Amino acid sequence: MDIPPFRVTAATLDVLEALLGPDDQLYGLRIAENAGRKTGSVYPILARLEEAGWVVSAWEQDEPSARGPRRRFYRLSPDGLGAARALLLHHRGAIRQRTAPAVRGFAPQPAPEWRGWS
Amino acid sequence: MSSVVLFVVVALAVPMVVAECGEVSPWLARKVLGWAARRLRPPDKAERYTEEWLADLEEVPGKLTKLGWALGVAFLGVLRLREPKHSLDWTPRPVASPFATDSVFGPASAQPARVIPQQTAPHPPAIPSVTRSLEPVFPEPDYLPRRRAPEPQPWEPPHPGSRFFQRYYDNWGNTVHVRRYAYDEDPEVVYGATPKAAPPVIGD
Repeated sequence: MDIPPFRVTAATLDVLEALLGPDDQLYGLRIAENAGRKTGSVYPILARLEEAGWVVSAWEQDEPSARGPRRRFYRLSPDGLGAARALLLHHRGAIRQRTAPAVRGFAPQPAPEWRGWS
Repeated sequence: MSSVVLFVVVALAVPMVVAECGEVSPWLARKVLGWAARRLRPPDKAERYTEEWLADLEEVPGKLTKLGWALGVAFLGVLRLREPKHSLDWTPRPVASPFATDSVFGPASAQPARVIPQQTAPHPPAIPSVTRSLEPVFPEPDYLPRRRAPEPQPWEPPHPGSRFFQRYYDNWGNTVHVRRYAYDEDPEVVYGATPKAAPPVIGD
């Protein structure tokens, strides 16, 4: 695996997992919610990823008069998609789905013996 | 009186202040985000992040929450998004313009200056600081001047023949003179010299 041109932290991996989700309209606040991180730390990570070419961003294409300021949507570039998957598999061994806001603290989960029944 | 004031503060002033803060918070949050985006380097980031952050600010629920979110973005995001200033370039380069030490024979070389050895006096032999009692003690050589503190001497007057002594009483204690401040008062016998700032002695 190539060494990424930025510092890989746990927050960076969380942001990459959020970007790998199925949601196609990911903006800064949504990515921060999905990653379970502070918004102030997610924007610099997105800037570093965009500078490295792993992430591309584009302005919202809706009617400009409908809303005030436009949102900025982020998605992984084709090169960044494979690199992000390789980086997550290297560091965490798996890729978690981060579509819903991350639950902090106790999260109800089924008992181990009940898994696979449904 | 105090209960009336307390009622006014609790029932009227506090809700007004809270409501006003709630109304002002979104406006203040937008100002904070704009100010923070203008702090970014390079400056072309400012317009982009201002619009992006303002769009995300509308998604944040609440009023005071917006202000807190904006402050968090301003303090966390700006510190990490801001590129450092370019430091001074200290790479050595050849000097294009003639230097002050150049001459008609060519530019000054970077060779170090010729070091002239200094003529130093021979060091005197070391004097043992600790001498044993059974060993002979050699006299100190006369070429080595020794500066010793002067021995404490008993006090002497600056002029041996004068009457100045160390203590005031030795000088003026036996001097007696009479001074009177008024004719109708009894004269005062003063032992010692007449002070300079003393009032004039009348009838002396």
